[in-house]
Amino acid sequence: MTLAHPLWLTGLLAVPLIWWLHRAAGHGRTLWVASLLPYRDAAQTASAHAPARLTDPAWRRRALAATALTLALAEPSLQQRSRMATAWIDDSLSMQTREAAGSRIAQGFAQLRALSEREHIESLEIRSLSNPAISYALDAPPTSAGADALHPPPRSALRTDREQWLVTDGTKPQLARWATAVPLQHVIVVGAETRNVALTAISARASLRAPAQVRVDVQVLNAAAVPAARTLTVWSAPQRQGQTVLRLAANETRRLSFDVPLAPANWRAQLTPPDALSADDRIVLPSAALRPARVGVDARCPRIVTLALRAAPMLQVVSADLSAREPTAASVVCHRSERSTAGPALLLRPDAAEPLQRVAALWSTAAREQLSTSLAAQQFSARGVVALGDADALLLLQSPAGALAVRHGRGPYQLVTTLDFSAVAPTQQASVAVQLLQLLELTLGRSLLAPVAQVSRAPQESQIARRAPLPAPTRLRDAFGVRTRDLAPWLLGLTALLLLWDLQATYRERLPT
Amino acid sequence: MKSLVPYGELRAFARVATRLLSEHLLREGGARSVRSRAGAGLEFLEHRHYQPGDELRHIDWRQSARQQQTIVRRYQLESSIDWYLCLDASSSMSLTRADGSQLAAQCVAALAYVLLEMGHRVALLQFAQQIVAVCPPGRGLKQYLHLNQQLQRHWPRARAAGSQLGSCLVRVRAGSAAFVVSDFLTDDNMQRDLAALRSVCRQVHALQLADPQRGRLHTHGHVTLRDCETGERQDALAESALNHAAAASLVRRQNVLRDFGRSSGVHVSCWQGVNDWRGALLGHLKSAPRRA
Repeated sequence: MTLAHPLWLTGLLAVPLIWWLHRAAGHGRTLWVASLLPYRDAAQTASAHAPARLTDPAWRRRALAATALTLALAEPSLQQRSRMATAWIDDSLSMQTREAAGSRIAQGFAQLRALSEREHIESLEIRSLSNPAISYALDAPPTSAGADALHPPPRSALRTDREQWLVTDGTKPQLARWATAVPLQHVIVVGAETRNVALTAISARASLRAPAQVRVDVQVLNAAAVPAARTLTVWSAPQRQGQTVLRLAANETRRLSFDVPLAPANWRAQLTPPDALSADDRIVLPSAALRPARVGVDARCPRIVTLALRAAPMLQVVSADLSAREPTAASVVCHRSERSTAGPALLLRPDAAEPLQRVAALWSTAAREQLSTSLAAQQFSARGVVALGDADALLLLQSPAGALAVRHGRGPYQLVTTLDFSAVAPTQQASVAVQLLQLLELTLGRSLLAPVAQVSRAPQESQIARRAPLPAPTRLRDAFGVRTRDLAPWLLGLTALLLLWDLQATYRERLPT
Repeated sequence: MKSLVPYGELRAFARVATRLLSEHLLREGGARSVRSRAGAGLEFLEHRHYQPGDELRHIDWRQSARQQQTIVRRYQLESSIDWYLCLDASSSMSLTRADGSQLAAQCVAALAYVLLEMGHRVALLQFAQQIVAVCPPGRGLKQYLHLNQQLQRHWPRARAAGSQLGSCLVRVRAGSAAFVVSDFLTDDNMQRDLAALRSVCRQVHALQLADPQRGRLHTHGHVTLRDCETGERQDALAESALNHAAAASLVRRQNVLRDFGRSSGVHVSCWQGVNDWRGALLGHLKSAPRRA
């Protein structure tokens, strides 16, 4: 309870004064009576039934009224602390590190549970720092890591009526900076293990000369401050494709390459023996990105088109008739009047009415970002230009005469071009094949000329040793989470009631008997 | 000196009170009843034939002519006695009410007038701790003037004047009658003195001034009460409960005095809540036992 004007409490000195006025000072008044006999009789009768009252009961009413009025003038207010908290959980990969007493995140939840009970928190909300929209239950810590990156909320997004707590292992400098920027009332730091060897990346590149072979590169990181030894095994399930023993210096990163056959199964790398953070001892690369794409080709397409597509190792060309029965990744259509299909399609539609022109055209910026091979200005054979059409249309190839290739839709795409691949000189066949594959890359949205598959994780994800000092918890502000209730009106009401009571009692006592 | 009660009022009161006094008071003293007998008196008793020795002034000539023989009137035997009017002049009488002592004096004056007119001898004794004023027995209007003068000369003192009815005993002649006007506020309600007076007098009357407001304290809170006669102090909490208890105590004391009067042959009445002395005095006379 707080008082706005505590000096008014000196008015409580009026209470003993009231008592004195009712008892001590009252005896100073002398009343002459005809005889004391009836009053002595009354006193004897009263003492026979009840103990004599030493003081006038009215003093209690008046003292209580004076006390209530004094307190009301001091304007007391009752502050009720309603403690609510939001616990921000660092659910990054390092929090899955297995310690002696369980995983770090499980330890963090256990400490969080104990802290909330000790602090008598009425409402505890647990939110993920990877995705603040996700909340966890106190008795169900997550068993897998969240997103790779942490997204701590800005200070302005934090609720001011709740305490802010943090549970982390202290391995993220980004989180340490955030912790200094926001007021945190409790910081729970878990984890003691420091040694970890991790697979941070795996990639596979198809060989254009040997389509059946793939080069798999694996990157290994020793995140500890001491040397470590591990055995690295690369699998193309279920077969082991390669194995090597590594001796890594402290904080060393090493890249190793393995030539493995192209297979429908995924590639997997594994470190043995596993360490405290087993989640980064294994990494899997899907092989789908390196498998040939099945493309249906219209029978009316020029022969050079069919030949160029069949020459590409990352494509499996089928006739349009077969593509109707089996699913294909895209279709190549060469008839102007035919309506576009539902799936991805490359529509080669040179305008026969227009003269064949050799034009120097440029790929647009959007096209160059998606092409696996970066080619400068090229000579293209085209008949006419393409109208841009709807708002989703993306200009890919531009000549001085106008657009030569435009992509429609938001995926699957339909690419329309007026490039004419029918009349090609033998010296230009190689460049025409490249141009055709580039158009197909833009249609499919994947690399065909230099296919690479890659999976990686940030090296700092595998750092399990504490690296950043965390700030001291912020002292709870006095007014934090406090609901104030003003008591002055209640006391004034009580004073009024007491005065009315006293008035009524005095009036009743003075009525003639 | 001006009369305490105007003479017109006295004469009007005497017409009523004389009859009541004749019917109720003028009898043989004591508790026993006495048969009326013929003798010198004012009230007619019977007719009878004239006998030698009868006074000639008692011959009823009308009846003698009607019955053709001498008839005389006989009267009840009556005798005049000495009345001692004892008026309390203690301090408590001055606090009874604003005009308490004035009313008591008027009451005594009116009673004296009636008794004097009936031919009795009347004396006045004003007493406090001791007798403060005495007017010896006498007859006639002159005695009334003396009484009236004494009543207006001696008013009760406001403080330190106690009540001692016994002090009047030495002045009261045996075989007389006494009429005491007081508040009877003593420890024993003056019972001892009344009994002593009754043993001397043929009859004793007591008119108690009882003010219903006497026990009420018109204030609240702690006060020191002081007895105006003795000066004693007592601390008290003035509140309605005390007022009720004091009033009840006064009523109890009145009842005790009344019971004492019944057992001892003293006619006691209470002058309660009546500002008019006529009502109080007539009420007392009416409530007195009828003469046999």
